[in-house]
Amino acid sequence: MHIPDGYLSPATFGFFYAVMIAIWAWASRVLKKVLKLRQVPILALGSAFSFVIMMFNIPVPGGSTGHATGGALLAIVLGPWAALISISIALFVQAVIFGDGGLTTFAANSFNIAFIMPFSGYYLYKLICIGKPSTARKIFAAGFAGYISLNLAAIFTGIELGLQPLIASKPDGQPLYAPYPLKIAVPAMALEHLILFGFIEAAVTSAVISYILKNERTLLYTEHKWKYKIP
Amino acid sequence: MHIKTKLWIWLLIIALIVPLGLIATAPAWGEWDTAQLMEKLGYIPEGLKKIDRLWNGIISGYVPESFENSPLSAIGYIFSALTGIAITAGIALIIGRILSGKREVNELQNETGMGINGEEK
Repeated sequence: MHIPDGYLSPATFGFFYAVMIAIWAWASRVLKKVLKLRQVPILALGSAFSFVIMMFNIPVPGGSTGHATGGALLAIVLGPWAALISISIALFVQAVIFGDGGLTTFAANSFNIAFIMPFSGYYLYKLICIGKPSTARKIFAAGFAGYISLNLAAIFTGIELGLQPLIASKPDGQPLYAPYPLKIAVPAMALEHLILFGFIEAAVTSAVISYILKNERTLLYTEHKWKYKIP
Repeated sequence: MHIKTKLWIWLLIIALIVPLGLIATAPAWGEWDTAQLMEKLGYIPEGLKKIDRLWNGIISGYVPESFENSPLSAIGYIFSALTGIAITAGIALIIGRILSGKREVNELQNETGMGINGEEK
């Protein structure tokens, strides 16, 4: 899901830089108001976890690979805004130090993995946990949020790639950047995440949430009575 | 042991088994290099060619060059995992400290009358 340099046209990656700079600025505004010094080590832990979990590449038949990202998990533990920042940091280190994901596409990758994923995952989890949820319901909700949010991020990635031939092609129709149209890119991205990677994400999310609920429930942002209001 | 310590230990264990991620060698969908694109399409998109590999990273592909294609690549991968964890956590600590403004939780307790763990005081 880490779009490399060259797959998005300048108009597209420029657009995502504009969008993400606004979102990052808003996130810092929110966190400046609410983030406590004591929560900072958890932020760092989450960021490092997200970094390392993305190194587990899993093959699918058909010659592709993918991985979990921890996007929904971090949102349930840290809240969506802190998750946005910590996953963005992991993506930044992956791009700059390890050449995984492009520099031009860093903002677009952050949009998919650090914005769409934690926010959709967080609100899905909240939705399923309405009322007085049992521990079993919370663990299920975590897995479900992981599954759906990863798929949403994959579909967004597919749409961004699939739009490229429409946005930037030579006069003879040869694409200048990502070469496959929407009708190929979206199903290709969606399918492998629907059949496999989504379940891996669900398993990771459920396992860690279940571990934290058992050991120290109050580590979870979603368990705090005092949690900040989402603006 | 505090839960945070436990989670850090789990994270280091995960870093040690990270070479399992090397078993899959194929690129992800939409992340092909130019040679693979040539094979798939019969051409390399011109715009893509111009900014392809704009930046390879310092440790490209998570395995240091001298470790590539050898049994040592697993060790290189673990090294990258640990390096990445350290850098990521370091940046997050710095950004977190700046954003938190070193605000301690006491302030919050005063505001809400609740403890860090959400219990009523």
